[in-house]
Amino acid sequence: MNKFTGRNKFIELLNYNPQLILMLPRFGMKLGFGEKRVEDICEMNNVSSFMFLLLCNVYSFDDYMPTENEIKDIDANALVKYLIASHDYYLNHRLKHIEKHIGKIAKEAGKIGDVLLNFFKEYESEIATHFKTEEDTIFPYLLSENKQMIPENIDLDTLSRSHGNIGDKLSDLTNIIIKYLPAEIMPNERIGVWFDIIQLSKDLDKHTIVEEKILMPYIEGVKGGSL
Amino acid sequence: MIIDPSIIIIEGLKKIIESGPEFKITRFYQSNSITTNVLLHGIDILLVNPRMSKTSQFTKFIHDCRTENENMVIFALQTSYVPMQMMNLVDGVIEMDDDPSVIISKLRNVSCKTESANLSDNCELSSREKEVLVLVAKGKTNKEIAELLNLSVYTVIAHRKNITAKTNIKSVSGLTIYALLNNLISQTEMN
Repeated sequence: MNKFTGRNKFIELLNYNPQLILMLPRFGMKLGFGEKRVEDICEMNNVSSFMFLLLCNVYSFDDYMPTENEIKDIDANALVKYLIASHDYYLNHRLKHIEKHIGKIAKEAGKIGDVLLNFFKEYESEIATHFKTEEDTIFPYLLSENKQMIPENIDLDTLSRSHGNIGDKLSDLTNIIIKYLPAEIMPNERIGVWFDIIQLSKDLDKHTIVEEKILMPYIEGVKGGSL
Repeated sequence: MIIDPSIIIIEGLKKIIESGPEFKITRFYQSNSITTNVLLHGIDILLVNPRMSKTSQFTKFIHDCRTENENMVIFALQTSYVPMQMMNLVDGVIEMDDDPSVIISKLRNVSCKTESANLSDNCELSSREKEVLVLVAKGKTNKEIAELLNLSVYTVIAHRKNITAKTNIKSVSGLTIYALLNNLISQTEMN
């Protein structure tokens, strides 16, 4: 099985998977890392290299599955911090950026434009609700001292299903933008925003995998009494 | 999606299957047991090794798959003897000594079947599907649509599946935009 180690230079990780650049802001780490190794960059930034590598590996290798021991060693505080930073990036950066561009297209598209923009805003509010549910139920539980009892309001199945619904809408949007809007409406803008949505969609898929391979096994482990 | 205890088999199958441009392995589980949490959402074709589980476990798993997506095509990966009872639950079998071209054509055969059941030529919506789409866009439920068009709810669901297969749009609000863009409904009707 492929996986990165602390001895790898961070630039090697990026060359393998450019998406990992997103890990830096989520862990509060800065650019300008030169040729430094992952373990050194983590130490400089006061970040656990174990957590950083765990996330980078899950993000990059489809077949990477954290071992039980790794799940045991998870620092719940660091995990929550990472997930909150991811949510913030999606809601306040990527979606705002995409909304701006869809807004431009919508303006040119006349009446149908309003419907398109509303569709996007509807999506935005669905995803915001999903994140808020996680932040209001799962995260406080993860940060609590006593994790033996899982609160009743945490429903992992429903959360996992809503990941799927969120993905469906984003895929609908890409189809509408390039396949069904009339050809003459802002083609370059549409191609640009299409790439942005595809990129966001890939990143959200990874976010789901992080929750599936790290967050959920962690909670299951606590519940089962093995952690 | 592939479920098998052997990473060699998973990686090999992945390479073979993805040589067909219409296939993408979206998920795989290297696992000795199918009782582990397997995420079934969005899977069209599943390749699973039944050797890993008891008949009752396997039956339940296949049932769960069909509940998630009744059109899911399920192949058994046969690496050793598997009881007939289990084999009868799946849509096809991939054997270890199948040539890559045989594996691809087995997958293509079933995906053709599911598509030809769903799709007519050019992916154009039939007039019945357009009628259903307009009512979906107006916010009607399947039951209301069935009553309005004198169809069974089951038929309405089948039409909706075809509409989604042809347009690649799943959500109701996405379908509404599609209907507006294709002048099947007007904005005033929406309000």
